[in-house]
Amino acid sequence: MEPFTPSEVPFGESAEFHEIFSCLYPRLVSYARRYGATYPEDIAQEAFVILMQRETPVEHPTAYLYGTVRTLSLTERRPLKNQSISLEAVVEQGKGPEADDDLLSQEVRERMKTLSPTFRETLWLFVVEDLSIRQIAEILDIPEATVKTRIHRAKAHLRNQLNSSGSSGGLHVMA
Amino acid sequence: MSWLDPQRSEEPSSDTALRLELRTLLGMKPRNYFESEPTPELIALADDLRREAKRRNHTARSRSHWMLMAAAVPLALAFGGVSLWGIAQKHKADDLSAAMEQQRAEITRLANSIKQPAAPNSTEAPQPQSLLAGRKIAPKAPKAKELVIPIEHPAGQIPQDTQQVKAH
Repeated sequence: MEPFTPSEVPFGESAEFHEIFSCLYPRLVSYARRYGATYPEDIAQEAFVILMQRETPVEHPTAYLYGTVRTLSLTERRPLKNQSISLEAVVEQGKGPEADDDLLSQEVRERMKTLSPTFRETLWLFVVEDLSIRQIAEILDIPEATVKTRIHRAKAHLRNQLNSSGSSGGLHVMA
Repeated sequence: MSWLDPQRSEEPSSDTALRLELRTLLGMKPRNYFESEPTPELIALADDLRREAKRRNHTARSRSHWMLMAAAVPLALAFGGVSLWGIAQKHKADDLSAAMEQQRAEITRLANSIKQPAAPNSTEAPQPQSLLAGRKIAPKAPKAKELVIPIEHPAGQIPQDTQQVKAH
């Protein structure tokens, strides 16, 4: 394979690019799958190409990639007239839950499902995808304050759920 | 541009603590859920995608250039056509204007040439209508004297076939 010269590498050295690609690509594929994308791999690859195709750099490449994957996944579903569908609804209808199987336990998934779709989407990006609040705001195209509000409401909901479910869940969490 | 987001590394400690707290509430184990090492397949895919981005960049730029040119050609042709038509119309108008000026000058010249020979016979020229009208309005000249024989009607004799009426 012909190596790239530094001028042809828009994101630094090839080794760094390979490392970050290897880290981000599976996450983006999983993220696209959660939105019910038929071809999540294609969507993740397209997001990378779109990012590298840009002439002007973006401030948050990771957030840009996630946002692109989200948009492409929703666009793919446009013929189904589900453009405004939420992450939760997609996960429940499509083949998204399989994406969680390798990542989260059954109990965590059940707790996630008790949250509203809006809160769950934000919480997923914050906790599982490990993205910052500013990145989430950029991906979802909402203000940072709204992201914080959603996260705190999700937290309050989880707390109430634990308190109402009795000591078994609480003991498990504490353990 | 670096892949590393500065905002992510500068995340407030409160947000990090909140994330840990949420993970605890959800019962998630503290591990990286997306650990993956660069495999030869992923490296090859990354390079392929970079080549594709580069190819698209070249294609998109050249295509946009040619598309711009192609879009400009009809506009330029239309503009040139309108300009030529306008120039032709201006020439046509100028020619017509010059012809009219020439025609006017010719008429003036002909009128002058007709006036000059007619000047000596001006005394015998027919009189204008205003003079004729003045003659009609003017009082009639007194007729020549005629012989007038006065008729004397006999008083108290009423002519026959007449009727007398009172005058008021």
